[in-house]
Amino acid sequence: MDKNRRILIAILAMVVFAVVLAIIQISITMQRQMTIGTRINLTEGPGVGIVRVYGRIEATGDMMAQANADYIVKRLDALAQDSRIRAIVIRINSPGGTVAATQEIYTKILSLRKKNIPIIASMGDVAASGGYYIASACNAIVVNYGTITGSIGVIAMAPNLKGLFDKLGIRMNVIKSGRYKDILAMHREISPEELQLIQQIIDSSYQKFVHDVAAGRNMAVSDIMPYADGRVFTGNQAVEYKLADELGSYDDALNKARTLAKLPDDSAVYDDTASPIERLLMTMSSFFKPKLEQMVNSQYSLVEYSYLP
Amino acid sequence: MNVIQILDYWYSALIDPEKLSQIIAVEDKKHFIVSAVVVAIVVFMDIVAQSLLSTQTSFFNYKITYGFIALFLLHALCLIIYAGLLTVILQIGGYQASGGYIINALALSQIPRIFIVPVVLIFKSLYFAPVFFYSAASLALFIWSLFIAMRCISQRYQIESLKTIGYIALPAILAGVTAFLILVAGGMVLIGLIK
Repeated sequence: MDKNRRILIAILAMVVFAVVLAIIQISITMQRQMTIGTRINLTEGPGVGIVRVYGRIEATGDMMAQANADYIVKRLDALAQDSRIRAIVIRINSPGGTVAATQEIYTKILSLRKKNIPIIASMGDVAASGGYYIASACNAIVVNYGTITGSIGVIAMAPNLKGLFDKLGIRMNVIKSGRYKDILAMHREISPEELQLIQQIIDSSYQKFVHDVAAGRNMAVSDIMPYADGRVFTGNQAVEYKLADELGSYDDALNKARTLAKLPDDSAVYDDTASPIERLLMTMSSFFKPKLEQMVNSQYSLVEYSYLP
Repeated sequence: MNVIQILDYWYSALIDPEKLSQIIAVEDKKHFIVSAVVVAIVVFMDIVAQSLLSTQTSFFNYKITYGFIALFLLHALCLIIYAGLLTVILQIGGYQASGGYIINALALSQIPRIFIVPVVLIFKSLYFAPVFFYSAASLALFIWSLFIAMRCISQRYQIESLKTIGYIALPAILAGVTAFLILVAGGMVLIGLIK
């Protein structure tokens, strides 16, 4: 073996050594920072855990979902299991989302409240409908003056593309087992009976929504009803209607959580900093393990039944 | 294939691109495995380097498994498409270009990219502008790769160096222009269809 090849081997060995060192460094830092899917620094003491609910709330595990209910519930569980977490701030910047996903988060927050973990909602630009629903489960709601909130109501939507289909000459062949199996189909007008059926579902979900908000806020349903007509209001109005507790920023919510948990002002904050790109890659595993459930759900993706403004 | 032959690929790519050109000129298909391995190593190095610069969490496990598979497939696909376009352009230019040779040349020219990890590791350990040096080293290594590809293709088809760079850059320009035109035409067709 000549001299040049030996030099090359030495250089390549150094590169391999550098890679090994890099992986060791990443692994050590990783071990220090991670416990059960949360970013928690082992060197810090008791503090406040942060959960971020950004975007439309869904439970599909879809890679495009910005506020995946499964992820949020898991995050809440992880924080509750950590003995250093004495209070939780839920930062909400969401226009709402699907009914079941929102209810899952609401139920989880209520169960944590029963464990005497103070939970404070901090509202960003928008915390409407489903966003307000989950906030109502918290011990207190801190809202910015200009936050758009409220929109207590339920909505179901399905596109009616009959006109477009007619124009393009597309006709659907529907073979169904029951008269309502293609309810909310996009290729035809909805019938009065179908409308009534959907309205019943909407009314039922609406009643649940109002009762849950009342329960979460320790208010009478009759006090909620005047504002539960789907209207949106500002943070200032929400405080006035007693649908939020106080005006304040994210920092104020953090301080309130510390006060309720009897923590010092400089106690640690355990934030959830997963970037959208990280979440996108995390959900890639679902591509390699396709589930029948997801395939079935995708067929009905055009029908919307949500807590949305 | 013995150790000496494997070393020859790396040595030729880094020190003597003309020799690399001679090696891969014989039996294109024989070198595909080495090319695939080089692409895999380059993707792996990129993931490690970028992980060093970003927040280090257990997300690294996803990046190094699913992320690696996805990036490798994407990188390989881009390489094949680019090599295909370059081959067609060279053939239009009157050269007897072979797709297999171009794929191997472009893949093996990426060998210098393996040095990105040591560079990032050094500056990260020194806490001295690691992101800047990552960008600077990436640019330098890209130019080195371009030089290797240019020397290989220039040597194989007896084209002037500057002209070769022009040929190598042409697929990127064409792909950009085509993508733009498709976007515009697609938009117009869609609007026309709905109206």
